[in-house]
Amino acid sequence: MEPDVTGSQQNGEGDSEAKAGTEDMMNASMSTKSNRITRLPLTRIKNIMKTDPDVTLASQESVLLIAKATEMFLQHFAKMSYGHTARSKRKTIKRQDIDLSVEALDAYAFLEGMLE
Amino acid sequence: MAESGTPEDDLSVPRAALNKMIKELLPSVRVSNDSRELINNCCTEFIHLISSEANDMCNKSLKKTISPEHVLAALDSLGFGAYLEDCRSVLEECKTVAAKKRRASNRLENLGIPVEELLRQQEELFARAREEQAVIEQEEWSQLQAAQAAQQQQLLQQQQQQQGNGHVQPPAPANHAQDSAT
Repeated sequence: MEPDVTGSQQNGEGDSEAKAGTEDMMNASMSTKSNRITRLPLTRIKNIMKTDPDVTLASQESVLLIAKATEMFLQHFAKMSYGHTARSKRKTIKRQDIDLSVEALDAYAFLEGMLE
Repeated sequence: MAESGTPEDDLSVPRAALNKMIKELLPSVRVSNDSRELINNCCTEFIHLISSEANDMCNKSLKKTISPEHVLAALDSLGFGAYLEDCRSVLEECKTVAAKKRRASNRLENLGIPVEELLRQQEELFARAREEQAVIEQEEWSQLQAAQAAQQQQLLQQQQQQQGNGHVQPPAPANHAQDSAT
């Protein structure tokens, strides 16, 4: 029986140990609640980036920036969706609200493939 | 951690982090479960979008590593220019923190005395300590020898007295003030 491994791979992978050690420290200090540069774990973001075979190397600051941008995207996207929710006099954000948000902005066109 | 059993494409932003951010943004609003899932996937898709575009920018600039400038340019070109200002200030903050850490570690290494000098001083102290220890041990040894010599002398004198008298006399008590007769 294989152990139950969820999708969380938070620690350093094949990088040299010394580098992963300092990186992890920086990552931890960058995304802990007390420092709050970003809420999203940088290691996870980096792993997501790595699933693209074309993406090779990214500096640590780049990963941080992408994390921050993702945070901003989430906040904007959620707010826009809620706009539709409120207009329909509901309290729960539903799929239809999200669909409408995707269609409303040109910049969100990349998400069209995600809606059924 | 074992990597087997986890397809790479299952990676997404941690659900808890997401929920927390939505909660802080829209405190009294509920989100249906499939909406959460969808929002999560959209975030993941966003990451792919930006990193792919930044990667293109990186290749165009003939560099090997994606830099913050590439990310900023990618955001701009994809219609997310509104994010640039906040992203730039995050970058500044990050650089300040890194610079502070570098200064702090430098201060520790440069107390004004180079490492070789510190090592030399340490070696001197060790050598001196060894010398002092040797002197102490030498003295203790000398004292021991002197004590033994004194003991032997007493025994010798007692034997001579016995021979001189012809009969056994009780051994004289140890008397440090004795004049040696012979």
